Amino acid sequence: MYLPEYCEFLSPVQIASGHHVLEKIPGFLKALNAKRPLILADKGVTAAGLIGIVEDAIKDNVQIGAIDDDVPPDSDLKVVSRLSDVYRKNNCDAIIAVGGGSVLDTAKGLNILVSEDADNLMEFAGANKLKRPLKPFIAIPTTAGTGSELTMAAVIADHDNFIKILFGSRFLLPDIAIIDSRMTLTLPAFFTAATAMDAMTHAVESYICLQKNPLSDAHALSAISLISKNLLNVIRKPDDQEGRLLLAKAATLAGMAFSNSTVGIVHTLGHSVGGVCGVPHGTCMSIFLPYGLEYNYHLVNPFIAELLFPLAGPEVYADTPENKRAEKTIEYIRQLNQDLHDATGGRHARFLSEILNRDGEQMVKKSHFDAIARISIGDGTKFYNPEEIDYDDSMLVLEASWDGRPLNRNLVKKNA
Amino acid sequence: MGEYKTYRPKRKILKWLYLYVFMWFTGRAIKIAAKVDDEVKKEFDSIPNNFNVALEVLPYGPALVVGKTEDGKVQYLGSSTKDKKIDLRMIVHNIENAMQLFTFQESTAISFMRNRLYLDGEIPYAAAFVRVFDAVEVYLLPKIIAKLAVKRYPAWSLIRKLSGRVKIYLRAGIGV
Amino acid sequence: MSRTDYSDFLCPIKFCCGKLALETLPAELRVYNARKPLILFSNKAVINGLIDPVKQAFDDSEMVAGIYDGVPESPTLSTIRELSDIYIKNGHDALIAVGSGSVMNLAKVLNIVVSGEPGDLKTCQGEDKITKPLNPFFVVPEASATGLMANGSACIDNFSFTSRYLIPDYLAIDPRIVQQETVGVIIDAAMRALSSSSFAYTLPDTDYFIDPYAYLAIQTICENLIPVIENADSKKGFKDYLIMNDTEKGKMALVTASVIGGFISFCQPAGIVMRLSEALSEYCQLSSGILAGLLLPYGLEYAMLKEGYQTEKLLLALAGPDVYSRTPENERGKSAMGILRDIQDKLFHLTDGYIPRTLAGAGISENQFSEMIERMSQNDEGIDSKGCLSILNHAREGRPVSDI
Repeated sequence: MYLPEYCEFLSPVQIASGHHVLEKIPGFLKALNAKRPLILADKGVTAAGLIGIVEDAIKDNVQIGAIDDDVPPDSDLKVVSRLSDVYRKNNCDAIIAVGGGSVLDTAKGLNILVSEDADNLMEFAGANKLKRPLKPFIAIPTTAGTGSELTMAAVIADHDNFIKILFGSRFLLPDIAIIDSRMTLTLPAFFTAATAMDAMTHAVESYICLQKNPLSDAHALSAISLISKNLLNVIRKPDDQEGRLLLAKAATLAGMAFSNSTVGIVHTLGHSVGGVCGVPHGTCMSIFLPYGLEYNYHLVNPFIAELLFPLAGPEVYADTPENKRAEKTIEYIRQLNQDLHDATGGRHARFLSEILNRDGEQMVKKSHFDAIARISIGDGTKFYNPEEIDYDDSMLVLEASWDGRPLNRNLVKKNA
Repeated sequence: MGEYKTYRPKRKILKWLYLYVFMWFTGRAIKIAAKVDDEVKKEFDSIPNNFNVALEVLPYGPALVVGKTEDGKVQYLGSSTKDKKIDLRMIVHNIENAMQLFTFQESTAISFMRNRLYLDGEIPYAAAFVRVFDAVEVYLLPKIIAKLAVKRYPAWSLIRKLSGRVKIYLRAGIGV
Repeated sequence: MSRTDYSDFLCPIKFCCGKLALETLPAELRVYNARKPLILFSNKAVINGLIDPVKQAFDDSEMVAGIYDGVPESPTLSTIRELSDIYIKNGHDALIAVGSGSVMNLAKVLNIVVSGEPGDLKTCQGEDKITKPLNPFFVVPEASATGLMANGSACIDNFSFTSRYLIPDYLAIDPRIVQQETVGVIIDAAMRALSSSSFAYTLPDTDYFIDPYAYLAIQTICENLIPVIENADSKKGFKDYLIMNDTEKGKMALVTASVIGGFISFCQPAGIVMRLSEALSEYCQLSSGILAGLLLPYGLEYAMLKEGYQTEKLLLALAGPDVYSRTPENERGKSAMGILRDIQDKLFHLTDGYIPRTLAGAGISENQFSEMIERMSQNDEGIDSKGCLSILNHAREGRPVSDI
């Protein structure tokens, strides 16, 4: 087993999971000394009927201060500031955030404003500016993938100045994350595939990147095994509530792993492709995942080999000779992408040129590569990747992932 | 029954002095490297003008402050962050962690991994600054040590490395 | 099988293990805006020379630390009173407990008092009566802290407390602290953790959030215990001052595993092995941890037959994916038990017979069993007397439990 000379691990969010956990929220709020929560969501969450489910589950036992489902997908300072007015006007004393990354980040920002009784969020921008616990905050993730409910960071845009502002503190974490199978039950197949592969990437990258440690490893292995066993079943049988719950639990485990050991090149490139071309995060993750493994192969192939067991199970593991296991892992992930592609009627993209928007147009063009590679070298996740990543390195991976060619590992620049 | 005492922390003067000298020299070397090395120059071009970066050790320093002036010149601004406008901070939690980093027992990357230091500011600029820092280390240190300090030792030509090394040592050391 | 209904999980501790872990204390205190910690040492910690490294970790920081050395093995309310006076009078704002379980225990109770009103001890008694976070509470454990460093329970005189807010915020495991441990203490701590983790890991309904912790504890103990005991007396070479050697890393990993074991036994009700070994320890010279190690395979065999514990899963954690994959499905459970017995056997030889292989070897006679079980069932109605007797009898003779 891998024992580093030094490591840290912290995952202090209470996780309540099951098929009927929403009903327990009033009890949780009481334990946190809160009476009037503000419920935050986005329009998509409301349209999927999820706010209704949450409201019905709790309204008999707690007085809801207000419900606001007007959080946009790229939330900014103005939204947070508007929400703080809503919070104060309705005498709320807790926040419940229902949704994906954007809603949760907005809720984190809002919690800073209302807890510190401030008007200007910028006072708290940066690392470790908060010094005490904030107001009670319950997160209800609806995507089973992002893991935002477990990360100590929030990114909020300032659209007037065209910048993104980063907040980092352990006090941003919610008190409780609610994992209820009803929240992901109606997620369409290709969304389910993308978000699950997002979680898979969190787990795999946290296992091979520099900050890996025994505790994050154990979480990652559990997560990979659960996703691998359940993902295709759920895609083929979308109303499999038990499978949905297990996928959501796996995403949570993956979140615990990567919030402690962070991620590498798959996210470096994924963030940039998302930023430049607007491609959904999960799609980028599933495309770049095999390339991330190939890119770092020369440094971490023993770790990649270990992943074959949770991915493929004992039979395949035993049948594969030791020196072939790392390659088999990569092959297995490619095959998983292929299977998801088939099971979603082709909507799950396998490589960059295959990503289409709603109108069927290609979202990533080769002409975007230069911009993508430029942004990549300034992405924070590159610090945590085992191998250095410069402009040429990014271009190398982008070229290969354009049409799904395996990466030529001999072309990766190595320690001179 | 036990006994109660208060413990006043001692200062680690020798370690502080080592860091002071090392960071002073590195700071000056960064300024020179921005003139003699194209890659370092390019990295500084990506940082806006009138922008200062500090690498500092908590709580008593020393620090290494470099910055770009209004007209884009790279400057070394000394060993203290006091009364300076700092746009990006790389903060080392304590002096022992700084010693690990600056005696090359831990690379910059590993120091980040182990939370020995953290960033406060825009990450793209920090990434650029780390690349500058890596390049300067490659210039200043023999390969066997520099390999411990950077993630991937670059495949530079011998001429580039040696001529850069001579220029930087001379000009940073005696201020030519 | 999986736990389809409700599950609730929380592990609020920040773990920090390894080189220079002590030096993180000031920075971590800053996160909580604390500036003046009170550091508590047990008598044993003083003898083991732990004060200096902890104290020196505050050098070159802006923090003036209060140091209280010599917390007695069994502190009383008057100790609490004395310490809370010191804490308040000197304006401390955080607690750091160093060393053994008794200090951890005392620090938790002290933290209730200094974080609220002196009368709080009465109102906070019992389960989950503390309603808000207490002041920052950090621990620096030795292996002998037997899990108390990671759980939310404390007791003093006749008061007992259980709450999530008693779990420490920060836990630093540093090589300089754990090097002092004796072989007996290491084995006791490791076996205690191995028992609680094995039961949690093989639960009939898998709890996916406890699973990684349990898996890690089992894996760590299985890989590191024997090598660490084998090399316990080896001297440090020159190179070892530069790079941490395997024994050092192994010891740290074992202490981490025992911390996790302590945390798991706080989350899960005590398994039959822990309950039996606690009771047995009153009948012989051996500690309950060592007895738990001895009883573990028998208890697991019993739990598998009686309640469907997934002992086959244990093989993965104990022996790794290679062995697990190569072993036929229906033999995995048996194999796992074989490994546990092997560990016990090796410990027997390494300690020249101090760690017994059977209860007979521990000098416990058969006719003490029924009296002991009688006493257990008076305190604990749910106990299965027949099953307990069967476990004990099998463990006495070293015979696997094959039917019930």
